Amino acid sequence: MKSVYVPGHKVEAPCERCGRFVPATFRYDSFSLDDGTLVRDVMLARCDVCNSALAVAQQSAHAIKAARAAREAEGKKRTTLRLPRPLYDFAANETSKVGTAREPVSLLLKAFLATLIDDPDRIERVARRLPHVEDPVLLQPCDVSIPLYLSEGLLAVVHTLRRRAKMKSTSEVLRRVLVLAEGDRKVDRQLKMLLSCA
Amino acid sequence: MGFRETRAAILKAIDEGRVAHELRTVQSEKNLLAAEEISLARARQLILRARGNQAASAPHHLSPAVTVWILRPKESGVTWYIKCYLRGADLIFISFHPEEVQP
Repeated sequence: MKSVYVPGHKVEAPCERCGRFVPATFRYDSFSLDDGTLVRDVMLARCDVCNSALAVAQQSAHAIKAARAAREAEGKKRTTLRLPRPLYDFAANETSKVGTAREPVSLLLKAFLATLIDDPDRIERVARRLPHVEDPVLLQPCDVSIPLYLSEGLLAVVHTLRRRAKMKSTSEVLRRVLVLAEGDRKVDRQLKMLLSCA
Repeated sequence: MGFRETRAAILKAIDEGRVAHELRTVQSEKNLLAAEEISLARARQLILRARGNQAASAPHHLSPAVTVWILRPKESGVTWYIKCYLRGADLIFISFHPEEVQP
């Protein structure tokens, strides 16, 4: 087959330990991601001189993806968010503008929360606004229930917002965050970026 | 080799499946292609979008004889950062990710 590397294929790859480009040979092997996650049975090129792992073939990308997904599934917390139907429709409209209909509320929330990571000033501004957010949509009954999976990092942002806004309900924080997402250009850009990676 | 010839060679390597990734950047998660966060077909599309004024080259830090190419194609307001080089018919990626969003 021409479209995949087979064991024994030779490439020239940079070896930091040898300090130069070296001949390397592909074979099925394992390596660890930086968090220690072991990825098994990948087509890996090792240095012919010092045996360092140097390169991984594109054909093994699925194995890296699966290993990362397993790691993330362990690290994500599931929560249930209840929200008014019009607010759900708003999220669906926003995400459809950028070309997706999948998990609109989750996606919009992640986009918003991602804009707050490493931006303490923006977190402060949003936290100050949250208690004062008023919109007729927030007075509607919360008749839609969705599962929400957030990473530890995004959950930490939510908890920071809730604490600084002196609000009791995490769900109320998230509903108001969705209202604040309307017309926010940073969120639009983040949404596009998230989708570009999909 | 100029940009157009290099891009053609990159696309040929992709079409022939001769694509690999430097392991150190697979681990740093700066390479979305290596983890199948984007598909090879999508990567091809993005590389095809790159224009000459969105490309730059520099020698590899371990060998001045190896030319590393940096492509910055734009799509839907997002600029991508693609760093790779060719060794013979093999294409090796160092990075493949969107650039940081600027405020």
